Amino acid sequence: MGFLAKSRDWLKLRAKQAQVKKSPDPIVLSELVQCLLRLKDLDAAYEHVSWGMKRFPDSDVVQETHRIVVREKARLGVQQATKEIQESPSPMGFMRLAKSALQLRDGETAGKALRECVRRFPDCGPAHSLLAEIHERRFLRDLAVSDGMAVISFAQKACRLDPTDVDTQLRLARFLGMIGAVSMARKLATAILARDSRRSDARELVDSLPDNPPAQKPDEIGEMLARIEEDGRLPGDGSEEYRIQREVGKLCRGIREVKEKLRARRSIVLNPECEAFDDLGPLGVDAFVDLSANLSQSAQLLCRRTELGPLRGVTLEGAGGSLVVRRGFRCVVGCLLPRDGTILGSQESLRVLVEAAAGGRNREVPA
Amino acid sequence: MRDILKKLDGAPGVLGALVMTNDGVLVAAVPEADSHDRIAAFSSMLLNSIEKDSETLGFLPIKRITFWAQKGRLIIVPMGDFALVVIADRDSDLGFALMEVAGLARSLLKRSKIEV
Repeated sequence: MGFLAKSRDWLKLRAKQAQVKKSPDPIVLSELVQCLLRLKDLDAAYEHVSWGMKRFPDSDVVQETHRIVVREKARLGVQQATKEIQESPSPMGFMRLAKSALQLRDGETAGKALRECVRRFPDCGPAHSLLAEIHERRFLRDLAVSDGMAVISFAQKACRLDPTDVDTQLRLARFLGMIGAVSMARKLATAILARDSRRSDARELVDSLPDNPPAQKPDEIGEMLARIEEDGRLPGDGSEEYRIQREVGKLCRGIREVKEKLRARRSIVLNPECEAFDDLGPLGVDAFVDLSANLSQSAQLLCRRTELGPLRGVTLEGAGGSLVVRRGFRCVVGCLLPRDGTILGSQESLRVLVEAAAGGRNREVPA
Repeated sequence: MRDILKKLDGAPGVLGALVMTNDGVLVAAVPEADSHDRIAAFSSMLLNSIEKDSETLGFLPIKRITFWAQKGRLIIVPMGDFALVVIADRDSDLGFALMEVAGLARSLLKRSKIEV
């Protein structure tokens, strides 16, 4: 920034500060914070915007400004923590880097930092706990066995390293309850309550679990997770049906455009029960529906068993045409392309469609 | 078969390759790994499960099936009674290597045909 621009901002800053003091207003506050950001006074910007969030909690402008400041702070945090780690690596530095990266929704950097942290400092409980949290988010997205196992393993280690970390214990109990390991979840939550009866969150969890669940062994966890992965849903998740319906609806609305773009002969959306839909409504079973369902299910199994991770898409190129299949959050999209149709870019088009249907969630981010 | 695997071994982005019979028996693989038996078995299962519908839709013979997964790609190229399976990373362009493989596979198929 040039000297003149800087001087202009200084003058503007004084004026805006006086204006905010005299008659606080979300727009003026936002301008003041932007001025401070341009002058690189991040702390003052954060202080003002935090005050603004309390003063104008419903203002979209203040919320957006707050988001920008938090992102700037996180970006600076990543830079500072990276430098700190390079100069003198410490668990605190790695944790700071991971937390800042998570604020920027950069799960990959956060995961890398935490894995390096637990490699160098195997006794760092908070790093294990945060790794469990990252894997839990990924599990809720992909329902992959490997993530589920990682959640349990990292959380258990965090609890062993720091027995006073009740939050991680409670999160582990909630996770166990969610995947159907009810007796283990209940046991863990009851133990937390026995140590501190004031924990209302632990009490709530115990109350929400069935009273006398059948006893479960730790080695049954793998089977439970595998069942969830195969079914593509969590046990007893009442909102799952609604989520699936919403995703099918969104995919069906977008599929006509993709069909035209790819000049596909047909295009369908399959729900986890392999019921087919297109933009006009439900469809019956035929060879195309059957092949799409079969291919996506067998391919999912193949990719899991060959340790390639969750399936994203399949392209089958045959003599008489091609079939392109893409897995969404819960559903599958399939396009039947003619013999002279081009398959180049078809996976990309379907990826954009399924990501839009999943609410802009970036499914490709590895943590 | 060995020529095909040799072409693929060390090609950029290729992590491994194997040749199997259509009923899932591993014939040869590069590099040697225990997981290849499992890959052959599951690939064969997949090819069998889609055969009937592929025929109905007029897809046969299948030229290639590509699977995109979170950590990489798996490509199955059926070659008559055999199938070539290539395990590759997520991003590398395998176009050239696969084109060469297709050429080799075609010549192999021609040679193995018995003219009556």
